[in-house]
Amino acid sequence: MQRPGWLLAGALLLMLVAGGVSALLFTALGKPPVVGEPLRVVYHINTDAPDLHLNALRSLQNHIDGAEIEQALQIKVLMHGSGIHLLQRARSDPDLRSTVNALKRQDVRFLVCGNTLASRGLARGDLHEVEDRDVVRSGIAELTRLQRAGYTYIKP
Amino acid sequence: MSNDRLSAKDRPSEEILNAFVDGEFAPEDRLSTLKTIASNEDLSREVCDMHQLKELVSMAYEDVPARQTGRGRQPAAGGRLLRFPAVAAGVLALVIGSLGGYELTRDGGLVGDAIAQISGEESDALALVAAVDDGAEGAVVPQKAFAATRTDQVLLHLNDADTLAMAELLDDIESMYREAADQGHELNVQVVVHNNAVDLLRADRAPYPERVANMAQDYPALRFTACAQTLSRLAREKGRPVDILPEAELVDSGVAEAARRQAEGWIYIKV
Repeated sequence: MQRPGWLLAGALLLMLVAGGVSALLFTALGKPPVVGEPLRVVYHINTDAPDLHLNALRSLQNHIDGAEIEQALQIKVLMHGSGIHLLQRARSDPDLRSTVNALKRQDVRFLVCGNTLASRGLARGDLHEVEDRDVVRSGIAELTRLQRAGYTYIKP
Repeated sequence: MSNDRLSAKDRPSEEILNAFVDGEFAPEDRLSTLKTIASNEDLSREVCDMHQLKELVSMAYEDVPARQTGRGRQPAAGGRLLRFPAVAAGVLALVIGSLGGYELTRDGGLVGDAIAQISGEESDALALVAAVDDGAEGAVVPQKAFAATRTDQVLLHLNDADTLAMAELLDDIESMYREAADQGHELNVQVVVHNNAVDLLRADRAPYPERVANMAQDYPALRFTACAQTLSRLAREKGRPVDILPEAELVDSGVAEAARRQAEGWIYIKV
Protein backbone atom coordinates (compact mmCIF):
# COMPACT_ATOMS: atom_id res chain seq x y z
CA MET A 1 0.00 0.00 0.00
CA GLN A 2 1.14 3.50 -0.78
CA ARG A 3 1.66 6.50 1.35
CA PRO A 4 -1.91 7.84 1.43
CA GLY A 5 -3.06 4.58 2.91
CA TRP A 6 -0.59 4.93 5.71
CA LEU A 7 -1.59 8.52 6.19
CA LEU A 8 -5.20 7.45 6.48
CA ALA A 9 -4.27 4.80 8.98
CA GLY A 10 -2.24 7.39 10.87
CA ALA A 11 -5.13 9.81 10.87
CA LEU A 12 -7.44 7.14 12.18
CA LEU A 13 -4.97 6.27 14.85
CA LEU A 14 -4.76 9.91 15.87
CA MET A 15 -8.53 9.99 16.00
CA LEU A 16 -8.52 6.97 18.25
CA VAL A 17 -6.05 8.67 20.54
CA ALA A 18 -8.07 11.90 20.55
CA GLY A 19 -11.20 9.94 21.30
CA GLY A 20 -9.46 8.07 24.10
CA VAL A 21 -8.15 11.26 25.65
CA SER A 22 -11.56 12.85 25.40
CA ALA A 23 -13.12 9.84 27.01
CA LEU A 24 -10.66 10.08 29.86
CA LEU A 25 -11.36 13.79 30.28
CA PHE A 26 -15.06 13.08 30.15
CA THR A 27 -14.74 10.57 32.92
CA ALA A 28 -12.54 12.86 34.97
CA LEU A 29 -14.68 15.97 34.64
CA GLY A 30 -18.12 14.42 34.56
CA LYS A 31 -17.94 12.44 37.75
CA PRO A 32 -16.02 13.94 40.63
CA PRO A 33 -18.39 16.41 42.34
CA VAL A 34 -21.04 13.92 43.43
CA VAL A 35 -20.96 10.18 43.13
CA GLY A 36 -24.44 8.81 43.55
CA GLU A 37 -26.68 10.20 46.22
CA PRO A 38 -25.08 12.28 48.95
CA LEU A 39 -25.55 11.18 52.52
CA ARG A 40 -28.20 13.53 53.89
CA VAL A 41 -28.85 13.31 57.59
CA VAL A 42 -30.35 15.63 60.15
CA TYR A 43 -29.76 15.11 63.86
CA HIS A 44 -32.48 16.57 66.04
CA ILE A 45 -31.58 17.81 69.51
CA ASN A 46 -34.18 19.45 71.71
CA THR A 47 -33.29 18.44 75.23
CA ASP A 48 -30.73 19.79 77.65
CA ALA A 49 -28.77 16.67 78.51
CA PRO A 50 -24.97 17.05 78.43
CA ASP A 51 -24.35 13.31 78.15
CA LEU A 52 -26.83 12.97 75.36
CA HIS A 53 -25.28 15.89 73.54
CA LEU A 54 -21.79 14.47 73.69
CA ASN A 55 -23.00 10.99 72.70
CA ALA A 56 -25.00 12.41 69.85
CA LEU A 57 -21.99 14.25 68.48
CA ARG A 58 -19.85 11.13 68.83
CA SER A 59 -22.43 9.09 66.94
CA LEU A 60 -22.39 11.76 64.30
CA GLN A 61 -18.63 11.44 63.94
CA ASN A 62 -18.99 7.67 63.67
CA HIS A 63 -21.65 8.21 61.08
CA ILE A 64 -19.23 10.30 59.02
CA ASP A 65 -16.38 7.83 59.52
CA GLY A 66 -18.61 5.01 58.35
CA ALA A 67 -19.67 6.72 55.14
CA GLU A 68 -18.14 5.84 51.79
CA ILE A 69 -15.04 7.93 51.22
CA GLU A 70 -16.22 9.37 47.92
CA GLN A 71 -19.75 9.96 49.13
CA ALA A 72 -20.79 13.57 49.52
CA LEU A 73 -22.01 14.40 53.01
CA GLN A 74 -24.76 16.82 53.91
CA ILE A 75 -25.20 16.56 57.63
CA LYS A 76 -27.02 18.96 59.88
CA VAL A 77 -27.58 19.21 63.57
CA LEU A 78 -30.79 21.02 64.34
CA MET A 79 -31.21 22.38 67.84
CA HIS A 80 -34.34 23.88 69.27
CA GLY A 81 -35.99 24.21 72.63
CA SER A 82 -33.67 23.16 75.41
CA GLY A 83 -31.39 21.59 72.83
CA ILE A 84 -29.74 24.94 72.18
CA HIS A 85 -28.03 24.59 75.55
CA LEU A 86 -25.57 22.48 73.61
CA LEU A 87 -24.19 25.59 71.95
CA GLN A 88 -24.51 27.64 75.13
CA ARG A 89 -22.37 25.16 77.01
CA ALA A 90 -19.92 24.90 74.14
CA ARG A 91 -18.82 28.43 75.03
CA SER A 92 -17.55 27.33 78.43
CA ASP A 93 -16.87 23.62 77.93
CA PRO A 94 -13.66 23.17 75.90
CA ASP A 95 -14.28 19.46 75.19
CA LEU A 96 -17.70 20.12 73.80
CA ARG A 97 -16.45 23.12 71.89
CA SER A 98 -13.65 21.21 70.17
CA THR A 99 -16.06 18.40 69.29
CA VAL A 100 -18.40 20.90 67.69
CA ASN A 101 -15.55 22.61 65.88
CA ALA A 102 -14.18 19.33 64.58
CA LEU A 103 -17.57 18.47 63.11
CA LYS A 104 -17.91 21.91 61.61
CA ARG A 105 -14.59 21.44 59.87
CA GLN A 106 -16.17 18.38 58.23
CA ASP A 107 -18.97 20.56 56.89
CA VAL A 108 -21.53 19.58 59.49
CA ARG A 109 -23.97 22.47 59.90
CA PHE A 110 -25.30 23.44 63.34
CA LEU A 111 -28.71 25.04 62.92
CA VAL A 112 -30.60 26.90 65.61
CA CYS A 113 -34.32 27.58 65.84
CA GLY A 114 -35.13 31.30 65.67
CA ASN A 115 -38.40 30.82 67.57
CA THR A 116 -36.45 29.33 70.44
CA LEU A 117 -33.99 32.21 70.55
CA ALA A 118 -36.89 34.66 70.61
CA SER A 119 -38.95 32.84 73.23
CA ARG A 120 -35.93 32.43 75.51
CA GLY A 121 -34.61 35.93 74.98
CA LEU A 122 -31.28 34.70 73.62
CA ALA A 123 -29.08 36.29 71.01
CA ARG A 124 -26.75 34.58 68.57
CA GLY A 125 -23.83 35.82 70.65
CA ASP A 126 -25.00 33.72 73.61
CA LEU A 127 -24.21 30.61 71.60
CA HIS A 128 -20.95 29.22 70.33
CA GLU A 129 -20.23 30.65 66.87
CA VAL A 130 -23.69 30.92 65.41
CA GLU A 131 -23.99 33.03 62.30
CA ASP A 132 -27.06 34.51 60.69
CA ARG A 133 -27.27 31.71 58.18
CA ASP A 134 -27.34 29.15 61.02
CA VAL A 135 -30.62 30.48 62.40
CA VAL A 136 -33.78 29.01 60.93
CA ARG A 137 -37.22 30.45 61.55
CA SER A 138 -38.79 27.36 63.05
CA GLY A 139 -36.93 24.24 64.03
CA ILE A 140 -39.84 21.92 63.43
CA ALA A 141 -40.60 23.46 60.06
CA GLU A 142 -36.96 23.05 59.13
CA LEU A 143 -37.03 19.39 60.13
CA THR A 144 -40.06 18.94 57.91
CA ARG A 145 -38.37 20.67 55.03
CA LEU A 146 -35.18 18.67 55.36
CA GLN A 147 -36.97 15.35 55.58
CA ARG A 148 -39.03 16.22 52.55
CA ALA A 149 -35.77 16.96 50.76
CA GLY A 150 -34.54 13.46 51.46
CA TYR A 151 -32.72 13.90 54.75
CA THR A 152 -32.80 10.97 57.11
CA TYR A 153 -34.11 11.98 60.53
CA ILE A 154 -32.22 10.89 63.60
CA LYS A 155 -33.30 11.71 67.12
CA PRO A 156 -30.42 10.77 69.42
CA MET B 1 -40.02 -15.41 14.18
CA SER B 2 -36.33 -15.60 13.47
CA ASN B 3 -36.58 -12.27 11.69
CA ASP B 4 -38.16 -10.69 14.72
CA ARG B 5 -35.43 -12.05 16.85
CA LEU B 6 -32.81 -10.73 14.50
CA SER B 7 -34.23 -7.23 14.43
CA ALA B 8 -34.67 -7.34 18.17
CA LYS B 9 -31.03 -8.27 18.37
CA ASP B 10 -30.06 -5.33 16.19
CA ARG B 11 -32.24 -2.86 18.01
CA PRO B 12 -30.06 -2.17 21.05
CA SER B 13 -27.17 -0.86 19.02
CA GLU B 14 -29.59 1.25 17.03
CA GLU B 15 -31.04 2.64 20.22
CA ILE B 16 -27.63 3.42 21.50
CA LEU B 17 -26.80 5.24 18.32
CA ASN B 18 -30.07 7.11 18.32
CA ALA B 19 -29.76 8.08 21.93
CA PHE B 20 -26.31 9.29 21.16
CA VAL B 21 -27.35 11.19 18.09
CA ASP B 22 -30.51 12.72 19.52
CA GLY B 23 -29.21 13.24 22.98
CA GLU B 24 -26.56 15.30 24.56
CA PHE B 25 -23.83 15.05 22.00
CA ALA B 26 -24.55 15.67 18.38
CA PRO B 27 -26.56 18.50 16.99
CA GLU B 28 -28.15 17.24 13.81
CA ASP B 29 -26.14 19.45 11.55
CA ARG B 30 -23.00 17.68 12.60
CA LEU B 31 -24.51 14.35 11.73
CA SER B 32 -25.80 15.61 8.42
CA THR B 33 -22.34 16.92 7.66
CA LEU B 34 -21.00 13.49 8.27
CA LYS B 35 -23.72 12.02 6.09
CA THR B 36 -23.02 14.42 3.27
CA ILE B 37 -19.39 13.46 3.32
CA ALA B 38 -20.31 9.82 3.27
CA SER B 39 -22.65 10.10 0.29
CA ASN B 40 -20.31 12.31 -1.68
CA GLU B 41 -17.20 10.31 -1.37
CA ASP B 42 -18.10 6.63 -1.12
CA LEU B 43 -17.01 3.72 0.85
CA SER B 44 -13.89 4.95 2.48
CA ARG B 45 -15.85 7.84 3.87
CA GLU B 46 -18.53 5.52 5.06
CA VAL B 47 -15.98 3.46 6.85
CA CYS B 48 -14.59 6.58 8.45
CA ASP B 49 -18.06 7.64 9.33
CA MET B 50 -18.93 4.35 10.92
CA HIS B 51 -15.72 4.25 12.78
CA GLN B 52 -16.28 7.75 13.95
CA LEU B 53 -19.71 6.87 15.26
CA LYS B 54 -18.43 3.76 16.93
CA GLU B 55 -15.61 5.64 18.51
CA LEU B 56 -17.88 8.29 19.90
CA VAL B 57 -20.40 5.75 21.07
CA SER B 58 -17.74 3.85 22.92
CA MET B 59 -16.61 7.15 24.36
CA ALA B 60 -20.05 8.00 25.65
CA TYR B 61 -20.81 4.49 26.81
CA GLU B 62 -17.61 3.23 28.26
CA ASP B 63 -18.94 -0.28 28.75
CA VAL B 64 -19.48 -0.85 25.05
CA PRO B 65 -16.18 -2.19 23.73
CA ALA B 66 -14.98 -0.58 20.52
CA ARG B 67 -15.37 -3.14 17.75
CA GLN B 68 -12.29 -4.19 15.94
CA THR B 69 -13.94 -4.96 12.60
CA GLY B 70 -13.97 -1.34 11.50
CA ARG B 71 -10.26 -1.08 11.91
CA GLY B 72 -9.67 -4.31 10.10
CA ARG B 73 -11.55 -3.08 7.11
CA GLN B 74 -9.85 0.26 6.84
CA PRO B 75 -6.68 -0.84 5.07
CA ALA B 76 -8.85 -2.53 2.47
CA ALA B 77 -10.91 0.59 2.04
CA GLY B 78 -7.81 2.69 1.90
CA GLY B 79 -6.45 0.38 -0.73
CA ARG B 80 -9.42 0.96 -2.95
CA LEU B 81 -9.63 4.70 -2.61
CA LEU B 82 -6.21 6.13 -2.20
CA ARG B 83 -4.89 9.65 -2.48
CA PHE B 84 -6.09 12.92 -1.27
CA PRO B 85 -9.83 12.33 -0.66
CA ALA B 86 -9.04 9.51 1.70
CA VAL B 87 -6.55 11.58 3.60
CA ALA B 88 -8.97 14.49 3.71
CA ALA B 89 -11.63 12.21 5.06
CA GLY B 90 -9.28 10.95 7.74
CA VAL B 91 -8.33 14.46 8.76
CA LEU B 92 -11.95 15.55 8.75
CA ALA B 93 -12.88 12.61 10.89
CA LEU B 94 -10.04 13.44 13.23
CA VAL B 95 -11.19 17.04 13.57
CA ILE B 96 -14.80 16.08 14.09
CA GLY B 97 -13.82 13.37 16.50
CA SER B 98 -11.74 15.74 18.56
CA LEU B 99 -14.45 18.37 18.50
CA GLY B 100 -16.97 15.76 19.51
CA GLY B 101 -14.76 14.62 22.33
CA TYR B 102 -14.31 18.19 23.43
CA GLU B 103 -18.04 18.83 23.33
CA LEU B 104 -18.75 15.75 25.40
CA THR B 105 -16.07 16.70 27.83
CA ARG B 106 -17.32 20.22 28.16
CA ASP B 107 -20.89 19.07 28.72
CA GLY B 108 -19.69 16.71 31.41
CA GLY B 109 -17.85 19.57 33.04
CA LEU B 110 -20.90 21.77 32.92
CA VAL B 111 -23.07 19.16 34.54
CA GLY B 112 -20.51 18.68 37.25
CA ASP B 113 -20.26 22.41 37.84
CA ALA B 114 -23.99 22.75 38.08
CA ILE B 115 -24.15 20.05 40.72
CA ALA B 116 -21.27 21.57 42.62
CA GLN B 117 -22.87 24.98 42.43
CA ILE B 118 -26.16 23.70 43.71
CA SER B 119 -24.57 21.89 46.63
CA GLY B 120 -22.60 25.00 47.39
CA GLU B 121 -25.67 27.15 47.49
CA GLU B 122 -27.43 24.56 49.50
CA SER B 123 -24.82 24.58 52.20
CA ASP B 124 -24.35 28.31 52.10
CA ALA B 125 -27.71 29.96 52.08
CA LEU B 126 -30.10 28.37 54.44
CA ALA B 127 -33.01 30.37 53.18
CA LEU B 128 -32.50 28.61 49.89
CA VAL B 129 -32.54 25.14 51.36
CA ALA B 130 -36.18 24.56 50.65
CA ALA B 131 -36.14 25.85 47.11
CA VAL B 132 -32.92 24.14 46.18
CA ASP B 133 -33.81 20.88 47.86
CA ASP B 134 -37.19 20.80 46.26
CA GLY B 135 -35.82 21.66 42.90
CA ALA B 136 -32.66 20.50 41.32
CA GLU B 137 -30.66 19.09 44.14
CA GLY B 138 -32.98 17.06 46.22
CA ALA B 139 -35.28 14.15 46.00
CA VAL B 140 -36.78 14.01 42.58
CA VAL B 141 -39.50 11.63 43.59
CA PRO B 142 -40.98 13.73 46.39
CA GLN B 143 -40.93 16.69 44.05
CA LYS B 144 -43.10 14.75 41.65
CA ALA B 145 -45.41 13.62 44.40
CA PHE B 146 -45.96 17.19 45.50
CA ALA B 147 -46.16 18.60 42.03
CA ALA B 148 -49.92 19.10 41.83
CA THR B 149 -50.83 20.58 45.20
CA ARG B 150 -48.20 19.95 47.76
CA THR B 151 -49.44 18.53 51.02
CA ASP B 152 -47.09 18.12 53.91
CA GLN B 153 -48.09 15.55 56.48
CA VAL B 154 -46.24 15.87 59.72
CA LEU B 155 -46.57 13.78 62.82
CA LEU B 156 -45.26 15.36 66.02
CA HIS B 157 -44.64 12.78 68.69
CA LEU B 158 -44.39 13.80 72.36
CA ASN B 159 -43.88 11.71 75.44
CA ASP B 160 -42.41 14.18 77.88
CA ALA B 161 -44.27 16.58 80.16
CA ASP B 162 -41.97 19.57 79.70
CA THR B 163 -44.40 22.50 79.58
CA LEU B 164 -41.84 24.88 78.09
CA ALA B 165 -41.21 22.41 75.28
CA MET B 166 -44.98 22.14 74.80
CA ALA B 167 -45.33 25.90 74.52
CA GLU B 168 -42.52 26.02 72.00
CA LEU B 169 -44.08 23.16 70.09
CA LEU B 170 -47.31 25.17 69.78
CA ASP B 171 -45.21 28.14 68.57
CA ASP B 172 -43.61 25.94 65.98
CA ILE B 173 -46.93 24.58 64.76
CA GLU B 174 -48.29 28.09 64.32
CA SER B 175 -45.15 29.07 62.54
CA MET B 176 -45.48 26.10 60.21
CA TYR B 177 -49.07 26.95 59.36
CA ARG B 178 -48.15 30.56 58.68
CA GLU B 179 -45.41 29.43 56.38
CA ALA B 180 -47.68 26.93 54.62
CA ALA B 181 -50.24 29.69 54.07
CA ASP B 182 -47.53 32.00 52.70
CA GLN B 183 -46.39 29.38 50.24
CA GLY B 184 -49.90 28.21 49.43
CA HIS B 185 -49.53 24.55 50.25
CA GLU B 186 -51.56 22.19 52.39
CA LEU B 187 -50.31 21.13 55.77
CA ASN B 188 -51.63 18.30 57.91
CA VAL B 189 -50.18 18.17 61.38
CA GLN B 190 -51.02 15.50 63.89
CA VAL B 191 -49.76 15.77 67.45
CA VAL B 192 -49.56 12.45 69.23
CA VAL B 193 -48.99 12.46 72.99
CA HIS B 194 -48.43 9.51 75.23
CA ASN B 195 -46.95 8.81 78.65
CA ASN B 196 -46.32 12.01 80.59
CA ALA B 197 -46.97 14.17 77.55
CA VAL B 198 -50.71 13.45 77.73
CA ASP B 199 -50.71 16.35 80.18
CA LEU B 200 -50.88 18.57 77.12
CA LEU B 201 -54.38 17.29 76.39
CA ARG B 202 -55.65 16.28 79.85
CA ALA B 203 -58.74 18.22 80.84
CA ASP B 204 -57.50 18.47 84.45
CA ARG B 205 -53.86 19.31 83.78
CA ALA B 206 -53.51 20.91 80.35
CA PRO B 207 -51.05 23.80 80.61
CA TYR B 208 -52.43 25.72 77.61
CA PRO B 209 -56.05 24.63 77.05
CA GLU B 210 -57.20 27.88 75.45
CA ARG B 211 -54.33 27.90 73.06
CA VAL B 212 -55.00 24.34 72.02
CA ALA B 213 -58.67 25.19 71.51
CA ASN B 214 -57.85 28.26 69.45
CA MET B 215 -55.35 26.47 67.29
CA ALA B 216 -57.70 23.55 66.66
CA GLN B 217 -60.25 26.08 65.52
CA ASP B 218 -57.84 28.13 63.39
CA TYR B 219 -56.28 25.15 61.67
CA PRO B 220 -58.81 22.46 60.73
CA ALA B 221 -56.02 20.21 59.43
CA LEU B 222 -54.36 20.17 62.85
CA ARG B 223 -55.23 17.21 65.05
CA PHE B 224 -54.40 16.67 68.70
CA THR B 225 -54.43 12.99 69.57
CA ALA B 226 -53.80 11.22 72.85
CA CYS B 227 -52.87 7.64 73.54
CA ALA B 228 -55.85 5.69 74.85
CA GLN B 229 -53.61 3.16 76.57
CA THR B 230 -51.88 5.84 78.59
CA LEU B 231 -55.22 7.31 79.59
CA SER B 232 -56.67 3.99 80.67
CA ARG B 233 -53.53 3.29 82.69
CA LEU B 234 -53.91 6.70 84.39
CA ALA B 235 -57.57 5.96 85.02
CA ARG B 236 -56.66 2.66 86.67
CA GLU B 237 -54.06 4.35 88.84
CA LYS B 238 -56.38 7.14 89.88
CA GLY B 239 -59.50 5.03 90.18
CA ARG B 240 -61.47 7.50 88.05
CA PRO B 241 -61.69 8.29 84.36
CA VAL B 242 -59.25 10.87 82.99
CA ASP B 243 -60.85 13.22 80.50
CA ILE B 244 -59.17 14.92 77.60
CA LEU B 245 -59.82 18.34 76.10
CA PRO B 246 -62.82 18.55 73.77
CA GLU B 247 -60.53 19.34 70.82
CA ALA B 248 -58.47 16.21 71.40
CA GLU B 249 -59.07 12.76 69.96
CA LEU B 250 -58.06 9.34 71.17
CA VAL B 251 -55.85 6.94 69.29
CA ASP B 252 -55.54 3.33 70.39
CA SER B 253 -51.79 3.58 70.98
CA GLY B 254 -49.48 6.55 70.62
CA VAL B 255 -46.52 4.52 69.46
CA ALA B 256 -48.60 2.47 67.03
CA GLU B 257 -50.06 5.66 65.60
CA ALA B 258 -46.58 7.11 65.11
CA ALA B 259 -45.48 3.96 63.32
CA ARG B 260 -48.62 3.87 61.21
CA ARG B 261 -48.24 7.43 60.04
CA GLN B 262 -44.62 6.91 59.14
CA ALA B 263 -45.59 3.87 57.13
CA GLU B 264 -48.11 6.08 55.34
CA GLY B 265 -45.33 8.46 54.38
CA TRP B 266 -45.83 11.13 57.01
CA ILE B 267 -42.83 13.08 58.15
CA TYR B 268 -41.99 12.09 61.71
CA ILE B 269 -40.56 14.37 64.34
CA LYS B 270 -39.98 13.35 67.91
CA VAL B 271 -40.35 16.41 70.05
